[in-house]
Amino acid sequence: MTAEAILFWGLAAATVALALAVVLSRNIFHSALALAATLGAVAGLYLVLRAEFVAVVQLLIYVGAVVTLVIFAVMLTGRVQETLRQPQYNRHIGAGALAALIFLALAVQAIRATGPAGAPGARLGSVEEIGRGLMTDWVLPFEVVSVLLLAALVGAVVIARKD
Amino acid sequence: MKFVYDLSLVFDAAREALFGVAAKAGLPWEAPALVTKIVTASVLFGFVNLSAIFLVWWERKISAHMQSRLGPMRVGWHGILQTIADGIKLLQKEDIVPAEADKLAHFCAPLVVIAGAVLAYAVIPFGPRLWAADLNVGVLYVFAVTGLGVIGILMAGWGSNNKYSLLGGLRAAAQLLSYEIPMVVSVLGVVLIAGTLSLTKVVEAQSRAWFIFYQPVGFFVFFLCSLAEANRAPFDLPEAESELTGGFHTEYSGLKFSMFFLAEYTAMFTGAAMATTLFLGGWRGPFLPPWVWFLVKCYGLIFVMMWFRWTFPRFRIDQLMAFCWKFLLPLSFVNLLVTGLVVLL
Repeated sequence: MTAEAILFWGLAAATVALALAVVLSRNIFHSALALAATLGAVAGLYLVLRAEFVAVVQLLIYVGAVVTLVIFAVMLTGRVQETLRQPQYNRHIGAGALAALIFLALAVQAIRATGPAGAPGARLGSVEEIGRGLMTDWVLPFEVVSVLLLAALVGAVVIARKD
Repeated sequence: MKFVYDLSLVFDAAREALFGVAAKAGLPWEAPALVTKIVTASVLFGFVNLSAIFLVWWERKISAHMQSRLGPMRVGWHGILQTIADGIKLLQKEDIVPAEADKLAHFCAPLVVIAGAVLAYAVIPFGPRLWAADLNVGVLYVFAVTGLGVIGILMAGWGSNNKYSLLGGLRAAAQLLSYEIPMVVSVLGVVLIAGTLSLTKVVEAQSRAWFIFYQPVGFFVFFLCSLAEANRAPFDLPEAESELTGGFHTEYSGLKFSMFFLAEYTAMFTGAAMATTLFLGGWRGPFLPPWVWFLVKCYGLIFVMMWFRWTFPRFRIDQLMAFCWKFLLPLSFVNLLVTGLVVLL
């Protein structure tokens, strides 16, 4: 077993275990922390694939910003602990089925896209490649996403405004 | 003499000796390679600790002289061993965990904070070939790992189950997230001129002139934001003693408290090192060895940070937010726009 394989399996096992902790923990604050660790482990998987840029952005955006905002929201929500003492278990079958369906669809698509060869080329995740791609082939989705984010930002300001 | 001038030769010699011993013992090459990595990490961590010990003493002396006092004088020459004595005292303190605390979050918080602060040192170039790793996304990497500290501070604030800690944690998160945006945007000007995200290549790109001459506004914004990121005065609202007793670290004692303290001084050095690398030409300078130049520039910037702390009063939280969103952020965007235009033309 090569060092790369050991790293991959270790990180993969950690990702799955932490993701399970996110959904199984009764404490929503611990769930949010486990989510941060899960996303960090995924960043480690990107590093194993030599996609340094994607890994660092994963850490910067997901762990540094998104999960921090989630934790922030949890801390601002009063009485969050009491409601969690009585969890609802009547929805888990539907939710599980939906999640499994999405996972299957993504997995099939991912395997189809890359083929049996496995890992993509080493330069695929480089800064130059991604930057050029965003500004040429994918410029329309890129701009649409930025407009969407701007709309979300304006919406948040409107909702948060008191008067 | 050659070895003093270029410290990387010392590390090279040590590495060669290690590989030689391993080859004689018939070990596979992975064994010495792994040992090299562990030793490199230990050397960096040792530097972090030594630097923090020195900085704590230095800050006490600077504050004392600014207030016409002498500061620590008894332990060693001008009290230089004072921090070590204090550290030993802190190690012996009882570790207190509040009864209703979230034990897991309370325990892990200092570890997360210190990990985020120390990880950044992996890519900082202390001299030519004197770095642990040369990532081609080094600039982003530093922002990513220093951003991890926010989660640790939030964990400390929540886990302590204390309203002062919670308030301090919330303030810290709001402040750190806000100031990260102008900080990253201010660095983009340098990235545009240098055409790279690797810290070592940024230093190489400054062979003709330091980037502070091309990017004075960028340096100004970056330096102020790095003060805020390190929770330093006048941006030290998360731990404002006079209103929050200690903010997120109110409920910490002994070794865990000292880890928060260490993280703050480590973050100061990281901020100064990033400013040196990106704007002040990194290790470049005449006559003296490169690593000495690097440390001189870093500690010079840290001196300015301490000077700020002992001369400026603390911001109010609304002033803090307004300053970031209404002044620093537009300024850094204008800077980026102008830089982009100039580079394009």
